[in-house]
Amino acid sequence: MINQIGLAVIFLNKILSTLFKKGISREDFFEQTLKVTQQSFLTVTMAGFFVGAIMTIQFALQLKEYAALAYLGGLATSGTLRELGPLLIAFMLSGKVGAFTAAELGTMKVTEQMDAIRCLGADPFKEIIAPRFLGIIVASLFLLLFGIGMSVFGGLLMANIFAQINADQYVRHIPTIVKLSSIISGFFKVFWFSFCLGWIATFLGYSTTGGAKGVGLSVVNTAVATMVVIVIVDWITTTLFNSVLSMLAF
Amino acid sequence: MTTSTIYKLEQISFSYDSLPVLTDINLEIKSQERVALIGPSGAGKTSLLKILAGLLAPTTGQIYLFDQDFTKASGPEKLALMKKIGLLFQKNALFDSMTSLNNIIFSLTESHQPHPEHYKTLAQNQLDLVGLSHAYQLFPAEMSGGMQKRLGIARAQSLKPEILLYDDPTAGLDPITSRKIIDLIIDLQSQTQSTIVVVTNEIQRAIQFATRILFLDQNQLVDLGSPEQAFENSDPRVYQFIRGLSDGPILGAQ
Repeated sequence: MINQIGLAVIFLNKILSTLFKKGISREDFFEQTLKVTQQSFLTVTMAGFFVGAIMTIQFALQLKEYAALAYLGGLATSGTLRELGPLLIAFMLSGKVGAFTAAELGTMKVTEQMDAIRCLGADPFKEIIAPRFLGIIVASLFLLLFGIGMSVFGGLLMANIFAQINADQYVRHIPTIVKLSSIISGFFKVFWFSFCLGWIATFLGYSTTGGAKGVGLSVVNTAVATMVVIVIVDWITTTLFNSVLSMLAF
Repeated sequence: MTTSTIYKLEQISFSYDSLPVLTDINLEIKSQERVALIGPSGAGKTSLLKILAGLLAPTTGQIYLFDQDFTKASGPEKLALMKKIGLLFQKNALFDSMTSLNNIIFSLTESHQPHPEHYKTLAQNQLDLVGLSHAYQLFPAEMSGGMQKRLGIARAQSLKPEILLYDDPTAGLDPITSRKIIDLIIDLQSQTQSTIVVVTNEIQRAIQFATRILFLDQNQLVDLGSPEQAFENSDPRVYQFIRGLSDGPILGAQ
């Protein structure tokens, strides 16, 4: 385990030095970003919409008892933006993007396609790994933000259907409850979730050994590891962010 | 014919974890030689070939390639040296998401060859050379084993390397296709004047093309000389392996 973490850190260092020192082809980067976005757009749209819808229904049930439905939009949006939206959509992406990337890189590794690239005098980190890593981060960032947008839309629709709250009433209290800190917190989490997803998926894919079974194992490990790491990162970022906010408040 | 030294291996040893695969290998390969590397399965032939290609680093020892220390070469120097080597992998390692034409174009692109506008023509020429001009739109999965080997050879040749390493180019092929592949390798070698090292377990094929045969067994490399000299070798292991006898010191795959 400690050995794996050490190797993952060395791997990340290699990616970052490739990105900052050698640079990558703009075409490769756009191709990977577009590929990830296309692959997961529908999943994220659906996931985002229903996360918002579920949150709104749950909040509506609670707030109705206190005759506070006017705050539904603000509370549901704040909760979605700060916590559940990024977390659940990142889970969806880890299953979709993470697993796909690990399978793709793992297959390339076990079929010696990575070695074939090295034989061409090319650097697999520059040509294959770094563009995927950056592509996953940028695409996930966009997808997560879009997904959060969809969750707000899903919440708005559900509020209308289940709590008879129209769009105007729903958004009225959003600015009072959703502070700038909520938005920054959401962005902050989204970035680190994307970063971890790109890192873990490329690392485990590239470390694959042992044929088809090895590829299968890498895919499973990627899905599990990204979810666990995302939850841990969520806890760290939430704690850090809240500490910084309370420090600033005093 | 020039006889400058291409490869010089000094005291090369290689281990997987703690398991020794190669021990104190010394070897010189001259320009335009056609070397066959034979030996029982699991003897370390592929490992030695990958060390020659720069894909594996030896545990100890030095490799000199074109008089440059290949083992100590830094990143860019090593990549430049690796561009002089073409490698056909045992399982071809073709880019399965690309057509045969794009497999070659990709090689040219990734190695940053000059004149990108000519890549397509160059790739088409490579496919012509190996008799695959009709299959330019096919993906590797749509090709037969022989066609995949040809495509692998075309890709390995595409950068006009001075050295070509072939890892079991006739594995899994029928005897006719197998012979045709070796004919193709000889034909291309005579056209390009390259130096070739071929890993094979087929003695008939080794005799067909090799100017020198190397025998790898029990982590040691033995230079058997020409095919004729190899047949006269009295070492019981060599005698058994070359004649394919079941009785002898080599137990074979259990």
